[in-house]
Amino acid sequence: MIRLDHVTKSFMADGVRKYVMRDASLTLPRGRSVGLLGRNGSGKSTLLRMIAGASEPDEGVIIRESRISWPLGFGGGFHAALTGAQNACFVARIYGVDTDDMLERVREFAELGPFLRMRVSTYSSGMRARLAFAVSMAVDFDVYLVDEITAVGDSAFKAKCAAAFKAKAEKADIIMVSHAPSVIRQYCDAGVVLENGRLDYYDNVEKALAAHEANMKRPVKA
Amino acid sequence: MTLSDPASKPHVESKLAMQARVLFALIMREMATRYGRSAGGYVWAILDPAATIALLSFVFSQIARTPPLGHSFPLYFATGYMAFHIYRDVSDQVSNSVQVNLALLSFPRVTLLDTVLARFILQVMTATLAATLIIGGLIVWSGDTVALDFGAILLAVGLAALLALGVGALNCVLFAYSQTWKRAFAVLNRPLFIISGILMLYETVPAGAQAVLWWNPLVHVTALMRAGFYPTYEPTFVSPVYVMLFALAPLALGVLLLRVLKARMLDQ
Repeated sequence: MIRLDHVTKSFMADGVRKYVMRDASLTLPRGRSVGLLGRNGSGKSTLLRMIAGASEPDEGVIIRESRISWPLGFGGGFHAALTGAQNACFVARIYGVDTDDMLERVREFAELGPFLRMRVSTYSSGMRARLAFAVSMAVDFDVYLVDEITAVGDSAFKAKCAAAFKAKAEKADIIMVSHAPSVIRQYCDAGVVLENGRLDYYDNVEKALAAHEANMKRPVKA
Repeated sequence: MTLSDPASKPHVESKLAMQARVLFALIMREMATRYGRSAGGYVWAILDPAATIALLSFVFSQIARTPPLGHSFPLYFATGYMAFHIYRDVSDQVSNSVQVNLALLSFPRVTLLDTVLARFILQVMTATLAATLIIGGLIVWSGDTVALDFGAILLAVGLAALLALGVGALNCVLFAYSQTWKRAFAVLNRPLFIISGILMLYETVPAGAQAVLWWNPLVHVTALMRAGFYPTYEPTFVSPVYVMLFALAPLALGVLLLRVLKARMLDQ
């Protein structure tokens, strides 16, 4: 279970304080995969990062009673001067996974071939994404946080990711940010809509998508 | 889909075990990036200070016949310089720990303090190993009479490391915010090598200079280190308590700043 308790988060932009959420409370139950919906710049990624613990609320607390992944979808923490294998071993160590196990699973999933033993700086963006995804799949989390995963990789790799998540769905949930309703439908059974600093949880993903669609037809409140 | 029940929580482990694992992972990563990349790698950790000691020994042996302590110039400079080197090397590395590792914070398990501690541990081990090899080698090579006082040696190394941690913990925050301070600090520290009791003993400088030099904590550290090797040298002026206070003040401020600014640094 993940619970946000009276959370406020804001940023300064051009001297104006912009609120991503104001005194918002939310409970995400275990066993439901959730899509985060909202306008561009409404703070979906910030919410995801706060759930991960990679960003902190200004006020309020976030209670996590599950093992939660870092926000997947980018190789942000990878060191360009280290090889793919060295980076994978680093993640294995911080999450307590056997390094041989990790390398075996990454070799199988990422299909990097000899590149696994080469520096990440030599990788294409697609290869980086494959490595990032393979590394995260090798750690068993209760909840996977996914930010626009569909933006990277070719269709074969996307199919592979979908299959990997399906295999995990028995034990694990997904919290996902995506602009594509079809992707949200594919992975999620519930949704959260961000609008004007509010967070609304819908236990039915279709209702969440409908609420989001309705918001999008209204002009942005200043 | 199953709801979570206590039996499905095998992942809960002690905070201490998790902390230890993160530190180990960071140290392995640091070693791979810093020493694993260039040919020679770790050899430079020893060659660098050894070259400085060799140069000092050569120059001063042309000026004076014997060093202030013992008969070997290299051993005299090594006992002073290596204590200084532990401070300098560790504080340099710790000071840059936050700036270099900001990207790592996308893994919420890794905190800024972890990156500081990992660099501190690795660099203290590296510099101490280099000091042991260089001083040990010179004792055997020079045949100078030494009487090892491990209490004094360990205290000197400990104080050098603590000073480095204090200065590094504060600077790692300040450097991340101010390039100006980073430059200014480098300039301010340049004369440190000359005024830290590496070249001359504190006891041999005029009283007026002593009154000023006493406030440099590194003078205490280098004197204490030498007292650990030369049985005839008894630096009565040394105050370990002063050095500790000098180190703990910036350490406390640095840790406080890391906590206060944590949220802001995460969103950078």
